[in-house]
Amino acid sequence: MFGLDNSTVIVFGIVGVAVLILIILFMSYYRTITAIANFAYPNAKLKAIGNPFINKERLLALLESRSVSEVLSKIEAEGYKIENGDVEYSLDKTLISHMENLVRSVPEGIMPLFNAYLTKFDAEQLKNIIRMKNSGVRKEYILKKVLPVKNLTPELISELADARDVETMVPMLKETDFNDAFKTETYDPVELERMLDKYVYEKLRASTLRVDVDVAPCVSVFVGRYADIMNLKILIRSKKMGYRPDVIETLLIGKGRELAEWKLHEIALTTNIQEIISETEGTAYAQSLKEALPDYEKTGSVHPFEAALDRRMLKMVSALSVEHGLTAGPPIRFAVGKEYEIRNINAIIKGISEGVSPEKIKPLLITEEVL
Amino acid sequence: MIGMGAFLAAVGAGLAIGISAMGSGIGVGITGAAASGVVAQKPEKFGMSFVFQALPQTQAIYGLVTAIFILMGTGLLGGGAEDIPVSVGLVAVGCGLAVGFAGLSAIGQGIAASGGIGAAAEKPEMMGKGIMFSALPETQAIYGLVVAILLMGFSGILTKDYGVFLENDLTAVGFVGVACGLAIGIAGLSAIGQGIACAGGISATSEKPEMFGKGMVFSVLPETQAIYGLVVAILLMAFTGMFTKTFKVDVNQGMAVIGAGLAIGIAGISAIGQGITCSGAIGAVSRNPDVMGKGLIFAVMSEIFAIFALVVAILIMKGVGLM
Repeated sequence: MFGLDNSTVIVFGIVGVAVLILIILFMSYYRTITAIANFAYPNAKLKAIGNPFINKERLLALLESRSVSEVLSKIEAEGYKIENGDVEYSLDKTLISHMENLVRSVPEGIMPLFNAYLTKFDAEQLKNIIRMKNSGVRKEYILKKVLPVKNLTPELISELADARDVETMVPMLKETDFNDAFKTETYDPVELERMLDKYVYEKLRASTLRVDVDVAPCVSVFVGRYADIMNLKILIRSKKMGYRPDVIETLLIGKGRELAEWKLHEIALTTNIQEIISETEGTAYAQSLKEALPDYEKTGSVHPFEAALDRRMLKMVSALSVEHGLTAGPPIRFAVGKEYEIRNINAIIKGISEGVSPEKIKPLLITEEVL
Repeated sequence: MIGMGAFLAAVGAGLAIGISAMGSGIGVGITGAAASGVVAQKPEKFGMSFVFQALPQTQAIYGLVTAIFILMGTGLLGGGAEDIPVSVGLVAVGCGLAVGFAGLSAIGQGIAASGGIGAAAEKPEMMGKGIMFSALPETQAIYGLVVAILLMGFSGILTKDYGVFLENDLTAVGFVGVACGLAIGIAGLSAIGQGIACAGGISATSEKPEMFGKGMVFSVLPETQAIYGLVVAILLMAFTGMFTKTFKVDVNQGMAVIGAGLAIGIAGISAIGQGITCSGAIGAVSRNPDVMGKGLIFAVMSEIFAIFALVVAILIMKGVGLM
């Protein structure tokens, strides 16, 4: 055949079949390799932006600043811009811009998660409007302080700012995408905020079913941890405020990764914060809470617990960033890290402007390592 | 008019550059995407990104060099291709398979280098470590090139001296060349697994510098499949008398050892699974250093299948009377 002897033809046949097998085998890894390739751009871009102000050394350098202007010049070197001297507004604007940039950069397969995550910032701005409206703040001030995000368009902000009070504001929201958030008829600002927290979590949980199968395990872990941390903060705060167990249960956002509904019910029935810590024994959160206990006993404030849980969250997303380093891990770490970064900068600026010593500011900062 | 030998040599040259260029193209593409992401934010990182992007290009260069050697050695460039025996043409196909398939290692290198770009953009001190991790999947391509050069040397392609092949019917040696090419070439795909592990190592080292050593240990594991491929290729060359040019292999033995090449080559793809395990283990060890041993056990599990194939390849060589 073709001038070749039989043995050569047989060899070519075998090699042909082998190459076919090879192609089939290779195709089985095609999805994994494609997922890695799709994340190469956004992951590199996000790492280039980085999360400098959750880094111990960078924060210590920021803490050494002798004035607010020195802090501002240091953060401006990292791309932060403070507009019209309004630090908090400018930092929030930067955060939202990073989150919107994140949604635009990530591959389609994980976009549902970050679209849902953006709702969190949407809800935060709406909570601001509710609080300001409840305190009778003027429209002009609301327009100056609230940032448009996702569903919260400039037009909607203007309409809400025009509302006479919270009672007239809620019906306006029912005509928007926030309608799903307000399931029960109430005008109580605290209750409205609680409903918004649940709404954000529902969006996040729904996104776990809509992301690509390659990133689903990572996304599920993140959303589960998010719920656990939120629930623990609610439990500690409400226990400290002396709420009844049945009231506490209505505040919880839903089951998480390690804290299932029955566990949350048991924790809600505890009588004090020490018992909450005992109930979390065996979970990833117990150690952090135990370490924060002496500070709580000293100050009587729940802040040490909240900071410890935030540090735990940061460690968890950093672990995800290593375990799923080629796909969904880095964007998740970036998003969570950016929020803590903004909080850290805010705390330092506020502390320095009020003359608070660096030693007193340090416990307020969220980093993976002890400062 | 050219003969069948020259036709096979042309196929070999085509395989060498064609497949390796595909590998480099994909690898450079992945790295390029990461480089664009970094440069979009930090244009000053162009030089650093370019260094990383250059790494997966070498495989195509090896393919080009091999193709040119084949074309020149067989007279397809410069004339004289009419006399090329089929056996030499088959060896050229083996060279093409060795360098071509091993060139797909550029995909793994691209994955590692894209991780390196991100890490070095965030922490400039990661540049050196990133390059060290990214260089690991290069070895598979080097093994492929080494085997191809040896085959070209033994078959006279390098020196244009294939008198012994013209005087004797050494088609069997040509088949052994194809077997060697399949063994080292396909096993070179282990670099994809290694690239995934290396990217995990880069990520972990970037977070915790003390993870560099452990990350390297896990990243080296998927290399073994390629080493088995290299061992089988060298054993095939040694047992068939290629090193001494006293060829002692008949056509049936030559055809049979293709089974050995396929066994170790295709089993080498198990390294992709191993690389995924290694990457996960690096993450686990980074979080809890105490699980290093357990992580290694999980990672080594995939190795067993490659060892099975190595044993079978050796048994084939023994079974057909080469050992």
